[in-house]
Amino acid sequence: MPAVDAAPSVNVGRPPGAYRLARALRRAATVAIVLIVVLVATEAYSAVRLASSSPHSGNLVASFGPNDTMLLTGSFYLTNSGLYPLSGLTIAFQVRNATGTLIATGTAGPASAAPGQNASIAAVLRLPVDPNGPGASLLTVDQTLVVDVAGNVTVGYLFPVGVAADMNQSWGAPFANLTATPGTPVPAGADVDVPVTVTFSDDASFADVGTLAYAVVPPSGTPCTNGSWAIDVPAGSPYDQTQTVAVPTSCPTTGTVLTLAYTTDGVTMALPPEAFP
Amino acid sequence: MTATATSRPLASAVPSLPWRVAGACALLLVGLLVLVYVPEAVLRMLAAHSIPSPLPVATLAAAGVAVAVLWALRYVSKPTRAYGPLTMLLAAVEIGYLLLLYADATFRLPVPNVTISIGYARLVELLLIVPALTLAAGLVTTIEDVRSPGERLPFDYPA
Repeated sequence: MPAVDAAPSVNVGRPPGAYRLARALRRAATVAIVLIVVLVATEAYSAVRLASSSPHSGNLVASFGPNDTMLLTGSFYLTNSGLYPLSGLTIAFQVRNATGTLIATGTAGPASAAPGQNASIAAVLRLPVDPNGPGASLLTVDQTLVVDVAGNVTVGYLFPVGVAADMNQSWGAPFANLTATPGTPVPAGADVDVPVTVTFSDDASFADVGTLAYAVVPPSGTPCTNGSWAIDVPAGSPYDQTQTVAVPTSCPTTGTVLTLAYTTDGVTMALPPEAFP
Repeated sequence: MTATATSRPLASAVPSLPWRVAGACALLLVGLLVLVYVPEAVLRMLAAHSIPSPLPVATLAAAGVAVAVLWALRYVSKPTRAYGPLTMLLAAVEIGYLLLLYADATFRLPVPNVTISIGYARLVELLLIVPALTLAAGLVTTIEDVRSPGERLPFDYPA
């Protein structure tokens, strides 16, 4: 330990500049730590108030969407009862089917809320259901979807909080177990009448109200015949109806398929094709 | 009549080494309590609830002991030229400790089916201001002690 230095001659009353500077820096450090402690304490209080205000989300609701999509819509609500603003409130979604295949992703936000205000985020997830996409089975197969939700929000200025959760979402298909079974052809002049029995169950939470269009399509791609009929199937109800399809005798007998498409409110979506004898 | 500044040796009342050592021991005990015992107890309580610690308890304890010992040494050396360098060393250790925390400044709370993560990088950034100011103060004191040894004693230990 170095020896204590002897005090030199200095001006009486006023400390030297270097001493005052060092003292000011030490005091600034003390003030800084006090301010930080106050900030942390008040932000922690705000975070506890926010958590106790019970942030909640509404149920996800399914519906038909444009361009071969189905929509899952929902909302998230919270009340900022803390002392600081909430900022950067965002939610990201990933939807996977039971086998883990990624079907859709989506984001909602950003939103913010001043102290005492409510914040809500509306989320719309577009699930592609085109016949060649990963979500094709959503139209005809009941399943459990895994929805990964990741939310972020910054309380005040210091603490960004992230919440990640996996939710299981029960999915009821609007055309569950769809089948179109051709019956025995009956000659009818230049055509052959084929009875086609269409069965499915509307396991979705909404009714299937619209038009079911069919087309008999040979390998060349040009339909031999087509037509449509109206359907009105309440949610949770089965459907079983036989329609007579008049097919020209010139239509090839091999490689031909029966395609079905459902139209409602100006939205058309293709259903899985069935082999046609 | 014009006032002129008088120049004469100012009296200082520097405590004796045994007194400073006694004060440093008290400071060391407080430092160990605040920087080692309390954080360790908090981390062990969190671990009992399956909440992982952002730092190993041993690292936290080592850093706490280092800072507490430097606090005590700095207190003993205050009337000497070692005070400035020790202040800078203390600030450097505190900065290193905060940078360790900054490397993974996320606290993860495992709740069934939910993962909650709380980032505290901005808090660490703010806290870095404190040792940075202390480092600057130590540097100024070191320079002052080299240029005018003992100049600050009458103000640090007024008679």
